Amino acid sequence: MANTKTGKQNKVVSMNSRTWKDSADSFKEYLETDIDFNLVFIVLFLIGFGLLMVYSASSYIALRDHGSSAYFFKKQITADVLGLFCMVVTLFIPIKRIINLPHIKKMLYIVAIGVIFLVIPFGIESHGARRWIQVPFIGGNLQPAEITKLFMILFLAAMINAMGNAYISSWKGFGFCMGLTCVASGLLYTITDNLSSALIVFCIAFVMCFVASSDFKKYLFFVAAGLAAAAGIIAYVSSNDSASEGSFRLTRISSWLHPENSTETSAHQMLQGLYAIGNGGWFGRGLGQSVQKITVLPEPHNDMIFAVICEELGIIGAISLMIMFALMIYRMLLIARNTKDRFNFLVVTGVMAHFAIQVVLNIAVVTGSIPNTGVSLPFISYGGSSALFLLIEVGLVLNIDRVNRAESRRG
Amino acid sequence: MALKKKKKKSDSRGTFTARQLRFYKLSMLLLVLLVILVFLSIRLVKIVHDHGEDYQRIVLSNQRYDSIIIPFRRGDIVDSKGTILATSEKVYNLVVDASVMMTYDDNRYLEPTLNALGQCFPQIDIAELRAYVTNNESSQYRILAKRLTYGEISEFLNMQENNSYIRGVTFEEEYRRVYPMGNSCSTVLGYTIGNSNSGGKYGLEEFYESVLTGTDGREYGFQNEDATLERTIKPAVDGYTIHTTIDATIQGIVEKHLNEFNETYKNNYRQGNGAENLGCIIMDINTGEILAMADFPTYNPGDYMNTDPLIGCNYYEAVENAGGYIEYRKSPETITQEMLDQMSSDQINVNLYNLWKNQCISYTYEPGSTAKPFTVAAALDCGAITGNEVYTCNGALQVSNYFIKCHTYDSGGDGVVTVQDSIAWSCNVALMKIAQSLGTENMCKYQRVFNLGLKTGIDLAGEARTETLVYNPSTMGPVDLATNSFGQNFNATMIQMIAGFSSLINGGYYYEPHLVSSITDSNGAVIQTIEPRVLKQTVSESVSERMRQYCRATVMEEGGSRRSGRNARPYGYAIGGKTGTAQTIPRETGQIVISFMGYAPADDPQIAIYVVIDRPNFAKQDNVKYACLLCRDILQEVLPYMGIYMTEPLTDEEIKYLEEKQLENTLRYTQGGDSQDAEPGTEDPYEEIELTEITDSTGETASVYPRWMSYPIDERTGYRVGPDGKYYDADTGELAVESTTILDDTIPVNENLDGSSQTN
Repeated sequence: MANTKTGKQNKVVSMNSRTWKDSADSFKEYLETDIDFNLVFIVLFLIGFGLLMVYSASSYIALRDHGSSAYFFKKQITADVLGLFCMVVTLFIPIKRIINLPHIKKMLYIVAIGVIFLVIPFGIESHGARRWIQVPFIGGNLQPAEITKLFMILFLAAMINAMGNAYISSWKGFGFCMGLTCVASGLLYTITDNLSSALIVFCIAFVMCFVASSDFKKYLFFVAAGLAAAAGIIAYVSSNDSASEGSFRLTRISSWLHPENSTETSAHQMLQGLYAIGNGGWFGRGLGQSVQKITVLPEPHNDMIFAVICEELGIIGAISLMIMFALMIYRMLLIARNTKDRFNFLVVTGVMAHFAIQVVLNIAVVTGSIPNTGVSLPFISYGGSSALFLLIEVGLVLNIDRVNRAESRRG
Repeated sequence: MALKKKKKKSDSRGTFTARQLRFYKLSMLLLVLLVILVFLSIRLVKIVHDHGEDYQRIVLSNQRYDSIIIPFRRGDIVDSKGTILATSEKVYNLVVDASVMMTYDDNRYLEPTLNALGQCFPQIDIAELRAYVTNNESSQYRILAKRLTYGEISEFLNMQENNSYIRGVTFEEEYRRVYPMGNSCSTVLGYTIGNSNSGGKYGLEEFYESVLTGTDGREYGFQNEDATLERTIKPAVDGYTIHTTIDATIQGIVEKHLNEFNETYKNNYRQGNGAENLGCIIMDINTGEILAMADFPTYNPGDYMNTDPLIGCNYYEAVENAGGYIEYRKSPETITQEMLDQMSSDQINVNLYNLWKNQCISYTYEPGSTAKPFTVAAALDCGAITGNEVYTCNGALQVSNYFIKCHTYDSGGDGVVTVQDSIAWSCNVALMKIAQSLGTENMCKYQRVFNLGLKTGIDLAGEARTETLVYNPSTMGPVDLATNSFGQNFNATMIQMIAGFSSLINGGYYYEPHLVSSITDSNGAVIQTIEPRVLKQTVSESVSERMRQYCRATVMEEGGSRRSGRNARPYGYAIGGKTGTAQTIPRETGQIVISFMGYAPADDPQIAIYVVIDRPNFAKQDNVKYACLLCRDILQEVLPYMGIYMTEPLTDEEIKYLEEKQLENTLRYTQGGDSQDAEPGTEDPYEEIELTEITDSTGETASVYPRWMSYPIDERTGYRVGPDGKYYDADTGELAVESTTILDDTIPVNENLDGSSQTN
């Protein structure tokens, strides 16, 4: 019943009151509205916990390589503060108004794709790949892939919203969205050699299309086809060891299947992650007591930070963290439920998908459930760009929630 | 409203359901996410449950730091004034960790590190190292250079500090034993195996091994009850420092004179050192503290495998004797460089063993006449003689079926000999007669009282056992008694002789000779103080007083012209003592151990000194004068250093001699020994005043030279050779008795004694 009521209200606001005064009134109203402190608390908790774990995991390496045990911790805290600032700024952006500007979809897509090309002239090589660009004046490094993820979410939400329900449910609409996504993913993969980001963007788009459409069949088909292909590759690699020699990706799969026999660093890394989990046991060695982080886990504050968490806080700590992530996504689901606007709903969906996919992929890699891909754990892993854009995404969700609350209060 | 509602319903039914649908879809995805998270949690649990213990073990075994040894520092050995005789120096082993150098593929660490290594350590082959590091990326430990000093590595440490790309090089700490005084005190100190901080061999290093060594510390990890790896540092406990009674200055004086003796007489008559063995001990007569203990040849404990000191020594051979034991037999041959080049490492080792031994405590020999005071003191102490007896010496005494000669046999004997004269003139016949009144029972008893045949218990490793080298009442016959009375046919060590002699002089108190006065820990706190220990009263104070009188007469004028030790007196001092001229086995070779044992000053005994020259490199070895002169030269420097004032008047020659000596010493200490700069005009005016003064007091000096003074001195023997072919003493003109064989080869010898071999 409440749904019907707010739905009506929505129409009134978005369609009928287009005068500047009205919109100023509604913005004032918006500012007076509460935000979702549950979500804010969870996010702040995750950021704080992330900082703690980055400090714990990186202190030895930071001291060894940079002379100060707080080297990575300080950089991360800077990025987090900047991200929180951007999140607050995002709260004041009238998204809906901006999204209704002409040519906005084209511009979003151009930005999403364009930033990828920035690594060609401005890219910095690090960790054997060209994924970062130097930000002028600030001096920090930025990963364009993170910008692409954010803008692809916004672009797809706007695109699907414009398409209408029937069109997106059709093969044509689906094909159009996924086609544009594949271009972005392809560019991410080819230019920045970043398979995991490409995969994440693709999955986000897939989830958004799935949620937006009223169709099930073709998605089930694609999921089934994807799983079958994965099974096929695994079967191929495991039956034919020599086949993996040529390709770097296949080698990774092979070393995932048989980490003990592999000499590859990724297999070594995965095994050491497993050792860390085993060493941690149920309750962990205690905060700061990880021994794996000291020498054998390369960059333990990055993608393998979950292994350090397992070692220091045990399975209990790790599962608690997973519950926190699940709670965060659940809070976003509740916000999505209250969102009548299709665009806003799709933005929330995209953000949820983004978080969920990264959490799942990261933990799956650490537990050896899938081959090693470089996916960071949201808010926990060390990484400034990731934290910054994830917080902007949270800001978007909070913004949308506030819009919902403002509407429901008025209604 | 209805219309509106209906309209909305009709056109937004799709929207409405679509919205619901998309929410359901989203909820479904959350469900999928939860399922995946549950699956991942199960996987985590499975990992811990199935492999937890294995993985824990792997992790624990991966830890390298669980066995880092922190080495202890071996305690120092210092002399009585705090001069360091042996210390431990921290040195560094250069260790490379290839895995760290190769951390990044772009070699950002490798090249700067190799450059810095090449710059600072020219001895490292960088090309070889580069090949090694790139081919052994997983290697974490390779020692490239050992025992570098801090000075050698400091340049690299600086570079490392300024360049964070220099990685993978660590320095492992270790201690190296250092002997700052070089060869000085070598046989007293001993050495440590490999100059490391444990494994002391010979001397103080071996005797005080447990005091000098500490306990290694450890930095290790262990599993506590929760199987958590804990890191604990157990600091090293450093070894204690031992403070010896040695005075490095006195030791230096003694060693200087032993070296001079060797330099003067090496290759003199035969190829080789100035004597087969040279030894000298200076001891505090009232405490048993050893002030100096030196022998020759010496070696450098910091380089103890160096074979250079062996050149000129007698060659030792390991021979299996009839009993199946390995015996080290000395050959008359002396070692040359050519021989060394041909010797096997076993043969070299046998000879090095002998070099490393402290001859003052491990070499046994027949002491000869220096044993006479012991015999006389024993006879006086047990009442066998009163001291007022007078003996007649006709040059020989018949004991059983043997004629045992006095050294004055050729000139018809000493004639009438008092007890004092028997010592001062060293009359064998009188001594044999005294021994006869003493008897075999008492002779053996008193030998034990003087610790002959027993160990003195000095705190040095390697003191010889002499139990089998002396007689006991059941084995000692009348001939043995007679020969024992003047120090033949039994063996003793230098330390036994001087410790016993000290007790004869100091009132009868036998102090255990010792070298260490206190032990302190690494912070300087005193752990133990070792006080002088009186073991027994050997003779009564009245006997001791008589012994002081007799020994003084041996050196000083009251002993008459025939006194044997006159050459031992340092100018300006009165001392007492006893000479010794002992034949070695086999008797017929005429090889002699000459010695002088004395104390100073004569009226207030403070130190005892014993100089032994074993088989000097002379044609005629029986000239005890050389031992006396060596003793005089040593005391001449030691007594002033110890702050003991001159009591005796000086003659012109003595002043001249001292002046030259003083000049020599002044030059040595003030001008670094560059004697060419010395001009007579630069002499201290104070000395000239002294010179004039003394000249006034002793105006009468012989102006007519006796005839013998014109005879040429035979360089080999040191005697003047007259036109009749006879030998005259170069200083006194006394007719030297040609090869006085006191004990000819017919007189039975103690079958346990063998001059040329030592059983180890």
